[in-house]
Amino acid sequence: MELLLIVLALILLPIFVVKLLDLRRNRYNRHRSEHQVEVPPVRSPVRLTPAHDTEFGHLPDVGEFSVAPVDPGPGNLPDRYDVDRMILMVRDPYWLHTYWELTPRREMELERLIGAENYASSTALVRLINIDTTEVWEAVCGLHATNWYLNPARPGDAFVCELSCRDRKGHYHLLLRSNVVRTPRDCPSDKIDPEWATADELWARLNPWGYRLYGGASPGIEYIRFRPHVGASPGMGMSPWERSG
Amino acid sequence: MKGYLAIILHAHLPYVRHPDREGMLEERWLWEALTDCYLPLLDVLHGWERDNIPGTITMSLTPTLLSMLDDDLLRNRYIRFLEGQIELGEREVHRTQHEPHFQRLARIYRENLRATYAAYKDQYHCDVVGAFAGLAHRGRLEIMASAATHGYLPLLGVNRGAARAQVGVGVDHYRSRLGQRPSGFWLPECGYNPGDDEILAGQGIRYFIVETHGITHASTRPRYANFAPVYCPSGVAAFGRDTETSKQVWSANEGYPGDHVYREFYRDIGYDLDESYLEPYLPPGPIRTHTGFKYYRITGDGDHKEPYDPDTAAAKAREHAGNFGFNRGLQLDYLSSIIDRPPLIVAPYDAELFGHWWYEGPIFLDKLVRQLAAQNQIEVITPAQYLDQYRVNQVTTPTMSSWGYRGYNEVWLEGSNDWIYRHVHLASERMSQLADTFSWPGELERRALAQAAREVLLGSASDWPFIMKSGTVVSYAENRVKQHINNFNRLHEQLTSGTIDEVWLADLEDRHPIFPDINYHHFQVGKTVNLQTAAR
Repeated sequence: MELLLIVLALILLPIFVVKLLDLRRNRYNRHRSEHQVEVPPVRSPVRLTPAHDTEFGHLPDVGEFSVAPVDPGPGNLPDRYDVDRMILMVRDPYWLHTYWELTPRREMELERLIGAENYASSTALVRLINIDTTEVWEAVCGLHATNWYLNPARPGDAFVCELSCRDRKGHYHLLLRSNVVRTPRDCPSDKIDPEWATADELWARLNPWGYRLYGGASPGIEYIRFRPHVGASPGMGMSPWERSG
Repeated sequence: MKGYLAIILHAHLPYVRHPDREGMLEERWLWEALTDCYLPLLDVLHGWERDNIPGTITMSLTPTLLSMLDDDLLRNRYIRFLEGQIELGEREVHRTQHEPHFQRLARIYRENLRATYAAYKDQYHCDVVGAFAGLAHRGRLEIMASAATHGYLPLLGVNRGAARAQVGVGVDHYRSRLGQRPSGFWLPECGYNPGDDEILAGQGIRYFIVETHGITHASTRPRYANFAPVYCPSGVAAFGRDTETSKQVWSANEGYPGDHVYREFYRDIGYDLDESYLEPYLPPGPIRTHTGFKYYRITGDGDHKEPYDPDTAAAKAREHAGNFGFNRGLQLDYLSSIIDRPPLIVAPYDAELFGHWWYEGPIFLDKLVRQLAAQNQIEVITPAQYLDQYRVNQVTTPTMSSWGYRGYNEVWLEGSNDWIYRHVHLASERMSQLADTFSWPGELERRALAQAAREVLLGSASDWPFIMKSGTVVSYAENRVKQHINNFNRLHEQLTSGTIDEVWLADLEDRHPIFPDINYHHFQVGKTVNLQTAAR
């Protein structure tokens, strides 16, 4: 009799485990669909120029006609690579760009860590952290709305970006963290090497053709067949970001 | 002596080679650049050598351009292209027989094409790279190296292996082809990110060029602004572009090339004449494009164009050269009153401006250098020569910058092209992993690793996002990225599973024979990269 019970247990136990996993997966999928917030994947107030405004470059103008496409090889590029990563890049002194990929594996890890109910009720956020000033900007996002332009407008500062969940108690739980980048300066430095010092007035005279001493990139030049130069100062639109910290 | 002028011509084309399709539009970029720019520039440079004109200019010849110039398939196709162009020239001379002014132009174009054909085949023996290298060895030209596939380092450099590979493979190719170590390195698009100079220092590079604000916004204020170089903490010198010389040549409103007597680029028989007449000389389709037979001058801003007069245009080019030299004199006089060493004006341009975009450009350049030599007030110098004379320079860190629109990374990172980076970055990381992991590869593995490195580099060219941004041959650029990244992904899978398809690999090697001795170890980062970013 005891032997019979042991045999039945060995047969039934795997079936029970499989059923249990199915239940968890279904709950996870439901959780994902309930918590995906629709947000625009790309934020940029900068209007793209029309297709025919070409920059002067080292490629000849080939006119308006399309050409036979190159054989792209075995299909299009993958939508996903099953690799958790978050990358932060600098666009200019005021704008950054981030993209990420979050795997179900990573989501399930966090869910196990903080509990299913806590995870299900949490809010997904992209967080941009200014390492130099400790300012933090946050925006609610979809976990898989994976392509963002960020506008901290902080030239010369270092940043890192995170994808996190904030639970109902206000605790943050990290999903992904990016690399660290530093935005470039947008004006001459006020630091002077004493061995290479020169008077402000003299230094300003080194740029007599209207280049302001402070502000912006090199003076705008309307290049041959360029679109008109737009002022270097970004003056970008208001960020929907919620600043915290 | 008032000061120095460094003229730097950056010659680059993306790697375009389609062995199974002749006459593609994109391949004509190389034919046009050779005919309109590189061969005329060689004429000018040899003329200076022959006449013993003092002064040395600098050129960068990128690895992809060098590879295409050296490719036998492309050489043969270029000869056939020239033969077709000469035939078209004969027909144009006949077609314009009742229009003496246009026939004169047709004859000039035909004779120029015949001379180009003779020079390419008989004088240079189809070895344009050898011709430039010879000038460099004789001290008549300084040639800078550049990134392997002209990758834009500030955005690729998220993976340091990718940045090192662009530099390392580029320098390797330069040394193998030109037989010497490069002093200068042309950062693609003058795209600089602090720290990239350390990679250049590791390859023995002495200097690079940045945009003006790359210097003027440096970490400490540069005493001489962009009129003298600075040293990065790594010891590599950075030279900043001069705005005024750029405006005088590049500006659509103020620049010389927009003068109304110069040849109008966009009036070409390729768009004006009947397709049946042009078909043998156009890309298959046929696709209307530039033929080089242009009969009108700019005239004005509207559509009305007057016939082109080459004598008037040549005289104007010489006049503009005189004006440019005169303005440089004024500029240097002014700068000398402010700074306590002879000022240096750094004037980089795309080489293709001279002769292709601006037909009279080589005449301007020739006249300029000869005139400056005769006046002996301004020395035409290379950055390396300047560093030899002025070894003590301020140490500071240039800022991230580029010579692209708005001066930073926007051209290569915006709505039309940002999608490529999730693929390019991961491919680069995986290539670094492969380079770190395969310590003792077998022969087949070594070939697969080398080809994987080529595919990553080719997919990382800055040309593709540039084209997507500019909206020209967008589908071609997109398909190139997809093709190379897909090829890499497949090679990566085969290498990690140990199931390399040798037949497919051989086909890839044959299609893209760039960098035959590529050292994929440049991708190494020295550790296995953990791509997981779990919380710690």
